[in-house]
Amino acid sequence: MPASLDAFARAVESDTGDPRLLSGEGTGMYVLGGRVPFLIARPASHEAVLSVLARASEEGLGVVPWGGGTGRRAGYPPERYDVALSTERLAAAVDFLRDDLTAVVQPGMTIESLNRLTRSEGQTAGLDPANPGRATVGGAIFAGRSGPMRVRWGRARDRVMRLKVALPDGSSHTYGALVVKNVTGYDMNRLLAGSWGTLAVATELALRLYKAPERTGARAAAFPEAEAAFAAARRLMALPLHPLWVEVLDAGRLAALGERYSLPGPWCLAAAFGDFEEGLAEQLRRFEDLLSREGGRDLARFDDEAAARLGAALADQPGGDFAREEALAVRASGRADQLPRFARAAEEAARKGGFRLAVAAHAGSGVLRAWLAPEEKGVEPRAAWDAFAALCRAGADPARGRAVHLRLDSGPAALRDQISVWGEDGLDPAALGLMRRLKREYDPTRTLSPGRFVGRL
Amino acid sequence: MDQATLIAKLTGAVGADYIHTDPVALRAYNCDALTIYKGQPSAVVLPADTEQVQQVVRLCREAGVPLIPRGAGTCLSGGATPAPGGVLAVFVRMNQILEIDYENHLARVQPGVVNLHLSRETLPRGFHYAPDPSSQMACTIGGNAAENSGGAHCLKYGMTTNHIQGMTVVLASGDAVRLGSDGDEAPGLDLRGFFIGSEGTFAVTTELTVRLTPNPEGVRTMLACFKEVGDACRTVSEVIAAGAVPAAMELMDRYTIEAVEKVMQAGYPKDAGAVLLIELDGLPSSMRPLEALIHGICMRNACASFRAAQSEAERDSLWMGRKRAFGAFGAIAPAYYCLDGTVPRSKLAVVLEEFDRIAARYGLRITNVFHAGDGSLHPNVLFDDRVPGETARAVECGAEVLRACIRAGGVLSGEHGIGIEKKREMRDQFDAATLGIMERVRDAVDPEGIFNPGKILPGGDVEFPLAGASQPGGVARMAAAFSK
Repeated sequence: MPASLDAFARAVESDTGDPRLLSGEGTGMYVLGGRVPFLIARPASHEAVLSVLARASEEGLGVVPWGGGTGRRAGYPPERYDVALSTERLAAAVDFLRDDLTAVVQPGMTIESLNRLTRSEGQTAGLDPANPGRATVGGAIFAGRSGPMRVRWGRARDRVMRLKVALPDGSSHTYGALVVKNVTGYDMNRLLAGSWGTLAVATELALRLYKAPERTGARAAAFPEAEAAFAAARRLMALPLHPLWVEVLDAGRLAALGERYSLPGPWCLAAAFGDFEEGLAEQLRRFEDLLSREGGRDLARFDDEAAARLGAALADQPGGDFAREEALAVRASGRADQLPRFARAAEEAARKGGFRLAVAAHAGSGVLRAWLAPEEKGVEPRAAWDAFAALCRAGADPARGRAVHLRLDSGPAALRDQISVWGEDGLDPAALGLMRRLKREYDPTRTLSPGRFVGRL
Repeated sequence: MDQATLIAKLTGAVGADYIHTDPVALRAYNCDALTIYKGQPSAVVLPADTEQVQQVVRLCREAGVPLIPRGAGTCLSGGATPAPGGVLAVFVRMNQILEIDYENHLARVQPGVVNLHLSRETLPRGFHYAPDPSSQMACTIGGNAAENSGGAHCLKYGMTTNHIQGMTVVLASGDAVRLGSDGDEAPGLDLRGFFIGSEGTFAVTTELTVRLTPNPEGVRTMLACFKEVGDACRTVSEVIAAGAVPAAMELMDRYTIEAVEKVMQAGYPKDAGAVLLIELDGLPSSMRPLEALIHGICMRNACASFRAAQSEAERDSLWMGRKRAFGAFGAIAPAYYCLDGTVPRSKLAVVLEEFDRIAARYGLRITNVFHAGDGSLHPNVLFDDRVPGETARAVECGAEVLRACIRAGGVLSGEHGIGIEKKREMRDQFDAATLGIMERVRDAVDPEGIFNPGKILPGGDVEFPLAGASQPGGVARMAAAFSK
């Protein structure tokens, strides 16, 4: 280790009071795009985060904020990656204001811990990223991880009431307040939520909570074609019901879920509802009627615990081959009536690239996710991505309000280096220019996750 | 570029019929619904499309003249009051609903579309546009986006930002940029969310894609009356704590009831210390247990009477009192100053007590009529603008009220915006570092500061003269026309 880095490490050790500071060996699990940081800093206070950032900025080092590591296969490989700033020692509940439906927590708290905390009072944050045992609150908010329940509770960014953040120039800011309605100054929380650790590091987040529904239930039915399942989902969204989630799944995703859930296929529309008993019964009955009207078959019913388990399984990603290093996870977003085309694009991508496919769509929100697992023979990830992008975008017409946005959620580093991972090739250049200017204001030394996010910010 | 050249070029851009420069005509545009501050524009332009807006932006930037976007002028914080000598862009010609996509529950609209007109168009097909500021019969969707407007039903349905998927904006460079998306996701930073609520200081919006919401199947409107306002506040806190989120939950205090009943018969008991107007919507089977729960909480908190509207006419009458409350203040005071601080919902009772103490210190009365379920307050300082010095005293009293909200863990504004009105108090809300980054990002978005200068952030060299106490209009007579 060069002398200056050694001095940096010793200073960080003293700032963070962390004798188990990792450097060199043991940093393997923090690999990003084939790069290994020389140091894992684990600050346990806002002040310690500030000093790590300020020192790194001064030394021209690159710092990547690190939650549960669930996004490590996303984005471009960082240009500089010297320090992983782990939030594992910033994982406590700061305050739980039950009567105000507000939780104030540190960023390293896992989603599972947050759920345990809120469940004790019958409340929920409505955050459902994949891998809740490892995914952290900070990661979910800053990586914009919104799962199937977005159709009921909104996007992850909608949860944020107040943020306390540290900047590379050593300054601290607090945005927002513990109120649900707030137009006091610029909405900095929305600028930071989903910024992938490129602007600032959160050290405390106040989240809006909701009362968890008294009872929940889910229903699912089979459709022979994707079009029919998606059409039925659109009919459902036009009803004055309040689904917790609405998912359309293909045979590959059903198979990956396994027999435990016995969902009918080859295409399956599944939706869950939450309400008091009487209301839930009516919502489920009306959904069953709709499924029957739209030609759904093999109705499957899931009540309470079973519905919750199914929801959690759908929020997660398929495992096995779909989680291998060579696997891809892609997504497309647009108007909901474009979902059938996105599904065809995913099939074409799998065929062209030699992958096995699993598809799940947040059908009420116009978002389709596809996972591509490598078959035994050699695969061509670039061919798969190009096919997916071309077919998804066929028929898109941004001038008439029909834009399509694509993203590679995870994939091999080599592919990530070749394509517009964040879909910025569909982004207005002036909008990208604006994002660069905002990055300069927050992080002029490009200390935070340099080159990792959209347009290699 | 001198002024005459700028006017000539602006005329070329929008057409001679769509520019006003006559000082008498311009007086109509010298403020929005916050009438204490004035700023005389040098011209008002009425662009017809995005291209014309781009030309206007480029000309103003070249001339170094401020450009201020204005919807219907219903803003209560001075957001649409022009920096003196600036050019005001008014969107009366850009008032078209471009597309309604019932299949995907979206509408594409120009910024000058009146909020209520969109819902009127879509209601027969089973949808509405959910954000419902009280001025919705006049205010525009472009203005709502600039202010991130709220409304009574935001408690259940969320603010404007939750209903705008995408927008086209013209930046200071003259570039027209699409922010957000038609779907749920867009690449990169959430500029859509960052621009919404920026009060016209970042860009001019020329098109919006908004979400349409299915109409609820049933509506249940209830009136709960209390002897003491504290009991009504505790009821609100307990309803929220129970997670029983109604569609709307509005509180009116004793003075408000007195004013309303003086000018109309809304059916509020005159001896009540406070009334809560509670509305549920959704499936009747979902509403029944919720109503029972809320009724129980009201009764536990010494509710004197509780009734549910039995007919559409009765429901309208209950809401009419709420909607006309601000206009009714004219019956009990010559003028009023409407504020909009927000506090955590568990703090409502203590904050209202604090308001009473502040009012007493200033020798003024404060009435309260507000979106209680959100903790979104509307304290109204009643005063007589004919009495020398009383306007200034009301403004100071208002500032004290806002500081009380901040002390209670709340904020300066829940839905009206900061504008000119509250920018001085931004220093009470935020520390210097936080205000500093807000200033830097504003400058990054609009480097030459041409968009709506003198708003939101304290400091700067744009001055808005305070209207004299003798000036007709007072603080909020005009605002009364758009009662909250």
